[in-house]
Amino acid sequence: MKKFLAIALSALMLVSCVVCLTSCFGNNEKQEIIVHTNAFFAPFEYYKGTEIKGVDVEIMNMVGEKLGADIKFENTEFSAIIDNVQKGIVCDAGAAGITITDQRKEKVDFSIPYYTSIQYVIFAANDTSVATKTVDGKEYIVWEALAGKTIGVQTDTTGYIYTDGEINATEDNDYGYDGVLYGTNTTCNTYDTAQLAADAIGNMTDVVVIDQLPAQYIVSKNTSLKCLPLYYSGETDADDAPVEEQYAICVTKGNKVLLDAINEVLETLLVKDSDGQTQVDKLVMKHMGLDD
Amino acid sequence: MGFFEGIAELLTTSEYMGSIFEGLKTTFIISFFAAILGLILGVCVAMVTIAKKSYGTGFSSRLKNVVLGILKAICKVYITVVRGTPMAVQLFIFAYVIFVVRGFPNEIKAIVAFGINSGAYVAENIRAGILSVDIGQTEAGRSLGLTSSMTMISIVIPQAIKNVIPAIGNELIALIKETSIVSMIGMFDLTMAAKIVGSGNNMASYIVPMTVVALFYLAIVYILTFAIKIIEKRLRASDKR
Repeated sequence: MKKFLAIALSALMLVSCVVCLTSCFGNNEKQEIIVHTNAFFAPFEYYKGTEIKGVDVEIMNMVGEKLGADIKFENTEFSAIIDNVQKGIVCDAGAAGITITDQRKEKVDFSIPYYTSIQYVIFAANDTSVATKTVDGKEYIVWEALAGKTIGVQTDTTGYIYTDGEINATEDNDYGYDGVLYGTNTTCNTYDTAQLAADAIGNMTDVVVIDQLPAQYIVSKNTSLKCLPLYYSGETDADDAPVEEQYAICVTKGNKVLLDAINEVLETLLVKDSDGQTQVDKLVMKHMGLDD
Repeated sequence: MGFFEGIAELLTTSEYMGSIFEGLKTTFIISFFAAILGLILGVCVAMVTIAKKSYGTGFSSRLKNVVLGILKAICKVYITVVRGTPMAVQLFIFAYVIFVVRGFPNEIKAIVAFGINSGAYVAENIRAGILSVDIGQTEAGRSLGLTSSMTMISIVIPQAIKNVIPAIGNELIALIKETSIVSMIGMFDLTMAAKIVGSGNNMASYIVPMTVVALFYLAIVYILTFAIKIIEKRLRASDKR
């Protein structure tokens, strides 16, 4: 009796699992484009209440209108986006202020770049050990000034890729050159979000390297923090160049229809208006809360 | 901005509180259904693991033994794998490797993942509870002429339940707190709400929202502990200790 019960219950368990699995496949009449993002990157994507909003959301909605499809944004870990888009099963595109890099290009197709960002350094306003440099009225920090510091970054962002590269690159390994911070006893701590890294300033990290806009956001709300652009130092002061990168939207390799639609939308958005600003710049301003 | 001003700001801003209550709802839904799934799974697996071989020589007894052997092996692997890997890794594998289905609701992914995890622990708790009842009780029941299933139902299980309740309560509490990792698969739970309220465009500091959310978790667990205590008291009403 007991054994029968055991067998019957286990069978029931299996059946219910299968039913649960199969009952959830519904066919949508309208095509649905699922976009993965990481909504901790204001103003490109952020949670307003429980809704995901931002520049990338508006761009993708325009793409959706063009294709007559529903756009559904899903939040996920930033480090998982490229892999998910590469597989193309759970989502079609990734829009999260993703920087074009060679490694990522091997896995996914990128649209035309729609925004150029530079890396920023966030540090405590009363931390005098961070050497700043002022040239032609522009204040910035060079990589060399970060030597010996503990640098906080968000996992898998370009801030992490660059910092990790500068610390670990040597003549002998794949990089083929000595990183600026190689051998300077600099450590790189990774955090889930840039905000978490910024909260750790003062006890677990000294500085945080993150893209310009999120850095400015964080600093505008925390008076004890400051941020400055990060530069590569050149031969002379005039040769110092910011750490630049370009954002693009990625799609699963081979999804030409979606990629073309995104590129067309971006092309129209990137036309400069009479005031010298593109629609993308205006969207950024709007979501930064700077237009009102 | 000081810590207490921060808390006051959070509690008085309807947008922030809205996020937190939305997160609370998700945490509730996941833990509630995962707990039920875990209990059902746990009971099934415990039944299989404590079932004994049939000593008959007929074809049906042999068939039963073979089926039982297979089920026992499955349950053993299940318990070993689930208890031997971290929940965060299980959730990741579940959502990104096994359940790679387009448009599949995240809630169900999370509920099934947490239910499966909880089931393994509940199964072991129930097994321990049943084994903790003295063998003399079973022997006495059998000598009085009860069948083995009657002994189990009317003598062993009522005593086992009393021993199992505290352990199951413990598992439920652990389950509720473990759901805090679902933001990994993009779900909006209580911890995610804290992260969002603390993100750059809102309060731009995790410190205050995380503290508030900790109090929420504490309140949920405290209420649950209280409920378990009442149940335990009622079950132990006849005990003289």
